[in-house]
Amino acid sequence: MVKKHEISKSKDLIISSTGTTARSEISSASVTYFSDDKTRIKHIAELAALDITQDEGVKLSQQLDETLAYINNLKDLDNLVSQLEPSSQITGLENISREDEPSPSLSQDEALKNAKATQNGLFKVKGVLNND
Amino acid sequence: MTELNSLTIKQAKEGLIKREFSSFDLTEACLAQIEKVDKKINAFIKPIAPTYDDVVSAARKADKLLSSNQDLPLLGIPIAVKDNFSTMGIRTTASSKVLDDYIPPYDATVVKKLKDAGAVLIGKTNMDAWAHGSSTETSDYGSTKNPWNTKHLPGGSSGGSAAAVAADEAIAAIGSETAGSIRQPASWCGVVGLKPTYGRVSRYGVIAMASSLDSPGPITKTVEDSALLLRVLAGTDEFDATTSLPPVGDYTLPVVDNKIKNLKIGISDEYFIDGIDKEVESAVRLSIEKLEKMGAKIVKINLVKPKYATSVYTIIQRSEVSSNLARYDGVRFGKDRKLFGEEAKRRIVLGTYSLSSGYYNQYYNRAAKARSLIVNDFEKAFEKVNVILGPTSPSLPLHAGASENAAMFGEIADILVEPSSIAGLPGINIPIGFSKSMLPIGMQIIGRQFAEDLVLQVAHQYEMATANENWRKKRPNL
Amino acid sequence: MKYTPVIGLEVHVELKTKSKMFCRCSADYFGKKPNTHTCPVCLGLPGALPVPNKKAIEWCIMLGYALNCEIPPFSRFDRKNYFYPDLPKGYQISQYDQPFAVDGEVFIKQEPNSQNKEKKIDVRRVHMEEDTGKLIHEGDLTLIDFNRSGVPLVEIVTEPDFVNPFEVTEYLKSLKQIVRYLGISNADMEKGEMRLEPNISLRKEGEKRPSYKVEVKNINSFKFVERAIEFELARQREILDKGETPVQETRGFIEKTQSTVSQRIKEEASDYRYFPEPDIPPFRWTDEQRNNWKTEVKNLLEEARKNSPKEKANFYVGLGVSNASGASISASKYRTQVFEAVIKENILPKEQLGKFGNFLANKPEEKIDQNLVPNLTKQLINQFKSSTTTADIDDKELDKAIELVLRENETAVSDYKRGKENAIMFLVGQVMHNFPQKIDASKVKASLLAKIK
Repeated sequence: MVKKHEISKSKDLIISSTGTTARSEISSASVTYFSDDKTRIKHIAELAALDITQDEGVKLSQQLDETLAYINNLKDLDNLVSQLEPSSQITGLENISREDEPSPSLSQDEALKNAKATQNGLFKVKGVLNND
Repeated sequence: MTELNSLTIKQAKEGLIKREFSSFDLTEACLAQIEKVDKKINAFIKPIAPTYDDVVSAARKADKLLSSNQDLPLLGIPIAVKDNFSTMGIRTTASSKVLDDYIPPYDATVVKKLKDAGAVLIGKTNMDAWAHGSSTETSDYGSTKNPWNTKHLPGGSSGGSAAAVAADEAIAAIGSETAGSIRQPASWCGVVGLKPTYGRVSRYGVIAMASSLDSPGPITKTVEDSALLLRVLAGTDEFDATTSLPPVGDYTLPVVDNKIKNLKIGISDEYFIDGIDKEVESAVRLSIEKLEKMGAKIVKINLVKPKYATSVYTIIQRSEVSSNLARYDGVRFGKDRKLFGEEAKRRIVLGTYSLSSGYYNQYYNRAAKARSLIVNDFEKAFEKVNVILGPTSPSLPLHAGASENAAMFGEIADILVEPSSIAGLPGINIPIGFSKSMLPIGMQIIGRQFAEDLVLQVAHQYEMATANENWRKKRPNL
Repeated sequence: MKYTPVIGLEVHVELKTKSKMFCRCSADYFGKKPNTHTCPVCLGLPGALPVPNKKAIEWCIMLGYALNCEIPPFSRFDRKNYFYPDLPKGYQISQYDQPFAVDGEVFIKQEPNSQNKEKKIDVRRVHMEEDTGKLIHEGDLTLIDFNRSGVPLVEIVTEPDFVNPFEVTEYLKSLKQIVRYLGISNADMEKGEMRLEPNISLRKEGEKRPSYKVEVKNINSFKFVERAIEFELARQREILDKGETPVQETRGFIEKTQSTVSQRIKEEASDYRYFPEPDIPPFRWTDEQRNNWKTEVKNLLEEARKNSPKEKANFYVGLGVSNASGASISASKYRTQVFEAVIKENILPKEQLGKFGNFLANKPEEKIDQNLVPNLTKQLINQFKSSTTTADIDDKELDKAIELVLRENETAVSDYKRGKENAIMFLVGQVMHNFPQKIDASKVKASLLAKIK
């Protein structure tokens, strides 16, 4: 049975799903704004751990703008969607879980098989600052 | 003797059971075809895996089972699988150099089901890298060519699977669709492609593109084959929390009664979008007339303009992509992230942007709300009609190179299939003819969630009614 | 300038489920060979998908009720996106704006000299997430073990209500007791089963809120909690006294030097790009489900409190056991089991329970298997009986023996008369030696005293 989407605000949500304020209230982090076209690709690349050259950055920035120009057409629907709940799941499923029963794991060999570098059964990676 | 590799699953099964030929014969025929034509169309990832010996060994095992009258749904049938399905012990790359040497230690649920059904895995097929695209041109292993005209694209991202079926390199193939990746290449290659209801087939083991959209499905020569394969693949999976709970339908064909009579088929003018290829439009409108003659009632419906679905899809898909591609750091498997291609980087950039804390509400959240709108829109439509019909692709198969350097090639090419993907609805592409330039044209039939049986019935009825049309006799000239 | 400490706590509790949070690998990873408890899911392999552990979720909700939280009817998992080698998927499945439990409270003991006996600490939220792998630093290399990756964690966040280290340790003790009573975790800090990350600031007089906060990580032992907080408060005080503001950052506690040091400030780390986890459908609880959990928690806590060592000891004393013995029995799982079995099954008459208790209290602690308790109880009962069964003796015989002993031990008698209490026990012993069977010592003592006087 597919759950019907209600065109009304659910009272169940703790916070309103509309407006920027809701999200920034809970987030104790600073809000990211890419005000500068030149640096925004750089920032995105850092967030996404992407290697982007200067030239690539220019191209990607252009293409990002093109894409944004298209997808901004959603503004046209604002009146229609203001009362709707966001859908992140269209199955209508709820409460899916499994019993707490263990099953055999991969062997150490299987787990390490695809790694480029290992040592004594551990995955090896170039030094990370001791931030633990 | 008919070339065995050009048989359908149904015909192959009959032949195997009647002992007219063996699985070994059948498999050899496919392998020979691959040997002959794949250098021209590049439908398979090279080197072809499993190895020749392993494939033959599997065929012989199937023959043993056949001789003891074992009855498995796909026993001895050579099937190709898109290279984003994890195959234990067999290299799985998603057509990206990042996974060039990745060998999964486990099978995707779909692969396990195929094995349990007795299928012979004949090779992994080429795709757009990470399934990002509608052309198969973004593959890091060369693009696949359309078997009907190798200067044209096969569509994507399941271009390899669609081409392999069209070129009779395999009896059938498995693809995956996030929005269009089964239906569109099926349309461009002139074969049957079914995207089941989201959740009907398990995603466990499928290299994730967009988690709330990815749907594995069959690519076949006939609608009957599609139903047969769906029956094998569908079902709840304890390893995938988004798989559907309703029991798997029967999907059996042929049909008992005429499902077309009084069937209410919804047609939306919005799907004959501005700029649609004239030949595509007239072919689809002609097919609609045929269905009317068969007794269907054509009902005009209004659906949200597909261009909004494209925006919703672009935002949600790319956001999920940006997150799903984060695990590729070269530590536990695979190579460094810097090997990501342009298209992957493009999508990660947009996805990261629309999830960033300053932009989440403006993009991701807004798209998620618009998604609800589209879901509701279809629900309303299905109160008036049983199925919805339209062209699968607004264009004929494009020329090679068409997708390069475009900011949103994939998403724009898939404009007509995105709405149903966003709503998780089942949709099938069936070939309806060719253009004057001998390029395939397809049309899609969409149903409500879990209405695969109706969608398959309608498609099958149409296929039967048009079985003698001349274009069906054509084969690719390879 | 007077400063008021403003401390908020984030505590992670590792649940002792059998399997991990999103896969079926065994969650019993401690001390196991590296990377032997992994699967495609917790290793973050391509194509793997999470399926939530029902028990873990129920336990998280129960903890929520135990902390007097509200359990919203609707909740879900979210992805927290960031890169770090111990995070295989490049995101952690956690909960962002719709956690399982919110708005709770805990009452903790105040410092001995405080005005009030108890203080209320507001709990902002209780949510579920998965643990990361473990990093081992070796020179300029980092080695990773993913056995711990995916183990269920509950995160409990309080409001910044704490004003001193004592309150923090009291809170941790309460939390530990609660999770133990519920049976959901052992909360052993040294084993990483309970982890503390305090957010510490100092508020200047007149300020409504501090203008900064410092997060402290890596406090791996209960015994360092107070010291770490004290150090940090002192460090911040010094900076504020200079007229400067402490940098808002994350600092790590170093055991060797018992101090905190700045960790590299992760600039972009704060934008986790949370979005709803598409691989896991959301949760919706009925009133019935929630009431059932609430009742279960109430019962578990009541049962546990009744069974707390303190309560038990009181109960035993009520049966005639001495205070010391009562404490001794209740402190030992083994002795408690034996004693409770004896009481429950009426093995001894009520009047003898006190004596038996005292007898049992002096028996050595046994680390034994559950199954052996009935046998050991039988043995102990037999020992007890033979040690306490006294034969009847003829009064005349007793008198004769007493006369004899008094005559032969004049020194002891005069010792006793002079105030040496022990001498009487010596004399009792001497009398008892004259009889082959066991006789009632207290009777002997009474008769001796009567004769001496």
